[in-house]
Amino acid sequence: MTSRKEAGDLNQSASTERLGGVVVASDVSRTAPANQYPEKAPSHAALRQSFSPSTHLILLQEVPCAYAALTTQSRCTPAEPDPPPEEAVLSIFDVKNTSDHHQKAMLRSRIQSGLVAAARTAELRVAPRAAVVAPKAARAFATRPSVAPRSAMLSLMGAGAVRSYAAEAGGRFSRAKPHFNIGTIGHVDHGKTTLTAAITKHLSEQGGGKFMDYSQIDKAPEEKARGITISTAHVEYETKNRHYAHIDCPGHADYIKNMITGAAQLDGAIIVVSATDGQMPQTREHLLLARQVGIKKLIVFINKVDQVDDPEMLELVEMEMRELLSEYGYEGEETPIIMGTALAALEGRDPERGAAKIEELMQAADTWLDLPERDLDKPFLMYVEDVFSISGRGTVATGKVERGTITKGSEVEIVGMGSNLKTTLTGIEMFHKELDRGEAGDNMGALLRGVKREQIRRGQVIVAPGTIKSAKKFTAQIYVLNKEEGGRLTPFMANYRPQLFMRTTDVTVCLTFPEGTDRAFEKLVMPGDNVEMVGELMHDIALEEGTRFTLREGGRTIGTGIVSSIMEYA
Amino acid sequence: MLGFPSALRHGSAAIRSGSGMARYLSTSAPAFNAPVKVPVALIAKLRKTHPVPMAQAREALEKSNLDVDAAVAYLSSATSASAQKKAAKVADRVTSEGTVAVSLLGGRRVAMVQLACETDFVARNDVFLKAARGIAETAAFLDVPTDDPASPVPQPAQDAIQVFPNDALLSAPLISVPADGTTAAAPSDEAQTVQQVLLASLQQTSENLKLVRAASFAAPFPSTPTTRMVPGAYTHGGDDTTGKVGGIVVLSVEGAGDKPIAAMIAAPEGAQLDTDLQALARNLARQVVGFPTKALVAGEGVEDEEALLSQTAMLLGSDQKVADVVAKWGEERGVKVSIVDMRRWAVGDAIEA
Repeated sequence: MTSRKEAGDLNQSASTERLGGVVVASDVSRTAPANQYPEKAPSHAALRQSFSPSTHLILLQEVPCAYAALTTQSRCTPAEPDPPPEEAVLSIFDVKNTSDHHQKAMLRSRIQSGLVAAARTAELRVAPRAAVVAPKAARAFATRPSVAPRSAMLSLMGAGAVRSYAAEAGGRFSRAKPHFNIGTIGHVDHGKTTLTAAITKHLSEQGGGKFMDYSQIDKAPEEKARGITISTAHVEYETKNRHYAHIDCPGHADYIKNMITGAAQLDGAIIVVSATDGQMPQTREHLLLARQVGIKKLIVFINKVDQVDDPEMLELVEMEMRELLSEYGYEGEETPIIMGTALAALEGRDPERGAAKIEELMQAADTWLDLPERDLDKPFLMYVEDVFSISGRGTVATGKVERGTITKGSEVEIVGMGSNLKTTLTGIEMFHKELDRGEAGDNMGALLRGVKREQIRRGQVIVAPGTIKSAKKFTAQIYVLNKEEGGRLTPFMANYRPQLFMRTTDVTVCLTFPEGTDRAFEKLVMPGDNVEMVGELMHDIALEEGTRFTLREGGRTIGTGIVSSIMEYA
Repeated sequence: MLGFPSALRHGSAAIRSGSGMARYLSTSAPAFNAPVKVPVALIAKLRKTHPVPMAQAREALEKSNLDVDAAVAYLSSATSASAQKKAAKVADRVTSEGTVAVSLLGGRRVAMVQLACETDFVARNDVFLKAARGIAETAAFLDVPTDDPASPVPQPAQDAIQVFPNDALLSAPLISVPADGTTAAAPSDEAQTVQQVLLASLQQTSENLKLVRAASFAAPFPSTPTTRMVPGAYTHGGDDTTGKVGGIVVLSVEGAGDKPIAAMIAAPEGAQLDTDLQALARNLARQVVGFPTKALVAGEGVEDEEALLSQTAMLLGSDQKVADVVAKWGEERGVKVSIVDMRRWAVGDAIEA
């Protein structure tokens, strides 16, 4: 299980935790006298371990500086360096012994961010002080201001981390550019595949991705035969600013199902319309789908303009598209509409209406389509899994941070299950170590000021104040699993009451049809359906638009859903 | 706003002036045989009511001398070369999506048709659904043509619901039923055939559309006083008459006592009995749709839970078998109800050609 390489990696990880953790601990001890952790100073050994052997030579000179930097950061006087405390060794053991892969993976990503942060502070802060303390070292830093930390980081990657910043090394995925999921929606004949091929060709010529021809992209028939209706992200390309995954939407129901279950999420879409046909009756359905899956902005590509001789006709196509976009709640006047011919771009002729238009299209995609907010940038939310009372410290809630970041001393709110309590987060810890910042993905313990153990329970969430409310009634898009997926065998009707599982809790929900549904009393929901329903919970829990949940009944999952709107807050 | 060419702006003004437009155009129409420059405003106007592709809209206006009404007629005749060409071009494409439409006429006749298309975007579109409804109504209204015109209508038997041959249906004139569902207008001379309606929809959606199958039932006429046939229909996954799954059932009802069913219906409280029977038929159709029902009774290749009569009557609000629930229902109202036939069709069913 644990290869030597991995063990080494973990070794490093543990020491890195110390690198961040220890410094923080010394800070903590001052603000929180009740802290049980003894004050510790960073040790040489720990610091050396945190950098890789390959940079050893540089490090010999730099360690004191880095040390100085770290102590500067923690705003406390450096103590005499001492051998690694037993606890560090112990924690290494802890990590080694754990068989939880997930935890390891998480640790590894933590190390990366920890290292980057450490390296950055070293870069920024060392120079002035080092100049006084150790002129020689200072020179080393001044001449190589960023080499050491960067190379330390890179060699760590090499040691076994999965993600890489070295895209140039070839075959490795780079996260340097923000990622965007883009889709094409349009009629079969209007040239979606040609456009996709033209985009990959155009961008590959600029070094952004690999050219994929028609047959490579159009795998739909084979995939349909294998029962795959939507192949997510087998086409990718890059512009100067973004990395794109390209998804085709062959049908409404298929796509909705993917959206609800979270298998595929479109951040934006290109509507492809042929200039010879103009919009078609089903273009309305295309826009409805875009609306339903929460796409806020679209781009229109009017294809095959070389087959229309009358420029007025093109203007009509554009005008009709703008009208229709507005009708479906999109910004009809502002939406970029690009007219070109994908085939010309693909065949490398007529650059004015071909390649130039593809360039224009991708520029519009880069600027007009908004990047989705990253989890880290969203307001803090952590779900409570367990609650402990630690004598001398207070109440600690543990759980996973779903999104956002939090620093020690922040105001937080405990939401859900009838409670709505404001308090202060006085401490954050992970793996028996204190941190001053928690972020999305962390499994952390939150020490809460003045909260009794009875006041907080599993199922509640700890959030940045005012960012989420507790709700009892909502509308949701629900996909009901079919027999083959292990779902129900029989249909259900309004007032069906399965158990709704969300985050760390479950609550009985009563499902009905939205008001105004035709003949709702006899309407059925059959296995395999996706349907909009109203859910009323037995008791309130923290909910918002976009929250995903699972429906279970008698020990079996029967469906999954995503909240589309909140109807009634608790 | 965009800078529209003058023709467009001029045209929209003309559209606003309504009926004055045709007159204005007919007087200013250019020579007949020369290629006509079609103002885009006219194309826009035509496409508002008939969302055909741009090129076709232009062709229709050219051919009809820039008269929108004539262009509509030209398009709806659907014999235009382009429609045929389009149909031929898309004929090989797979049609795995579509809809099942039902039509219940006056509580006496019922029909179900399945119309296929390529994507479920089109399957959800009004143009397509309207065609499907129209075809279902036509099938319900016309009933299956018999080879022997002299033969009396089929007796209530196992196969009360008959397959409507696709060819016969395609060549039949489209009959649309008024919203109240009472009587359909008699087809006029220039009525479109079902085939033409399909072609017109195909032209608008540019997808391969196919009539997959059709079936209908008509209560015997003249009816016998002792037996009353009550059809019911239900669809799921769409609106009231179309959906991804459709089911129809036919009940045969007789009076339990000496009084014939016709007299019971004619009695003052008969209206209620009639309403109840219709509701029962609809509910049974719902049961058929809700469960994977293959036949009336279990037998070869049909499991108990796939046979209507031996299913649990969950959708009739009972945990007993459908046969028992129906028998009890009849007892309470002094009638004998038997289910004589059913069909359940779903989009995506494997159909033997």
